[in-house]
Amino acid sequence: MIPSKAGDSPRARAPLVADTLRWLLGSVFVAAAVPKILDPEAFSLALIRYDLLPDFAVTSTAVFLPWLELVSASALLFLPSYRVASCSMLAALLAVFCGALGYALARGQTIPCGCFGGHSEADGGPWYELFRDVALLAVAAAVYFWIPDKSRPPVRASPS
Amino acid sequence: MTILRQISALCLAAGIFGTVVNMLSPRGMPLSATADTLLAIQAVREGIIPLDVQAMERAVRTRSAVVLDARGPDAFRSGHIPGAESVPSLSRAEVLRVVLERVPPSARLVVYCGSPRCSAALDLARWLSGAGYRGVSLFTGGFETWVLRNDPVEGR
Repeated sequence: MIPSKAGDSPRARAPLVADTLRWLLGSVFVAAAVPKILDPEAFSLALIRYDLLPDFAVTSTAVFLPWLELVSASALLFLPSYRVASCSMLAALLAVFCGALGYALARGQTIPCGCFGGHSEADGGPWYELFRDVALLAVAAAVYFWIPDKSRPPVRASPS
Repeated sequence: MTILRQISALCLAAGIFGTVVNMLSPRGMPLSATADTLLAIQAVREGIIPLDVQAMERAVRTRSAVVLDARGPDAFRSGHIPGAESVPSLSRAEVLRVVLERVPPSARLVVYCGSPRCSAALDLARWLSGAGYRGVSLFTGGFETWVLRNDPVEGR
């Protein structure tokens, strides 16, 4: 029998921090997804203002993207065997959001980010929204780092 | 490979949930709506009357409404819909000067900006509605659609 190295993992040394960060990331994404699911039209309008997507892709993105956020966040919170995949997905989404916000800022746009629904607008403005997404990306990286070995996809042991 | 399979499963689940909820929800949307349709939907929900380009042409031809251009001053100077007043949406003092002092609250107002993708006109229409104007309309196509129809342009 191969001895478990779980006790040596960084998560084992700081389980409270690991779980707190995971719940923080998952909760933020759930909170962001629900208003967008409830009001896809307003989120569509927010997407249009970024001027990044062709018209035909705007509404389908507005319908499916919040569900991708919600499904991935739920998997991160409640499905241990999906933590690597869901954390990777959320990190990829955050990278896309950072790119979109950075692109809007580079063009001098001061549009509401629509991150928490179509009418949402952070008090701190677009730079604050970009900073918030970068900070969440760092949280996602930390969550990935602290995922315990047992929740990673199983590796088949050699019979010998 | 397992992670890729799991990511695919997450995407598939999101697709299934999104499709089913969009079909069943009263707020479901056509998945291929255009930008001006979306803007019209948003305007209706906020009590603002959306105008298509034909309705806008009629309003301009019959001078039945005060037309307000929400784009910036430079865009306005380079060409605008005939008879339009420049009301850059970022300058609320300008709104007060142009609109509130000269136009009675019973007047019909039509607001537009550059294209269906800009937010300035909807913001201005929202602001005017909040200021007590009841007949606020939004030309959803914006100046871009006006020009594409070869309609007359002033200021060029």
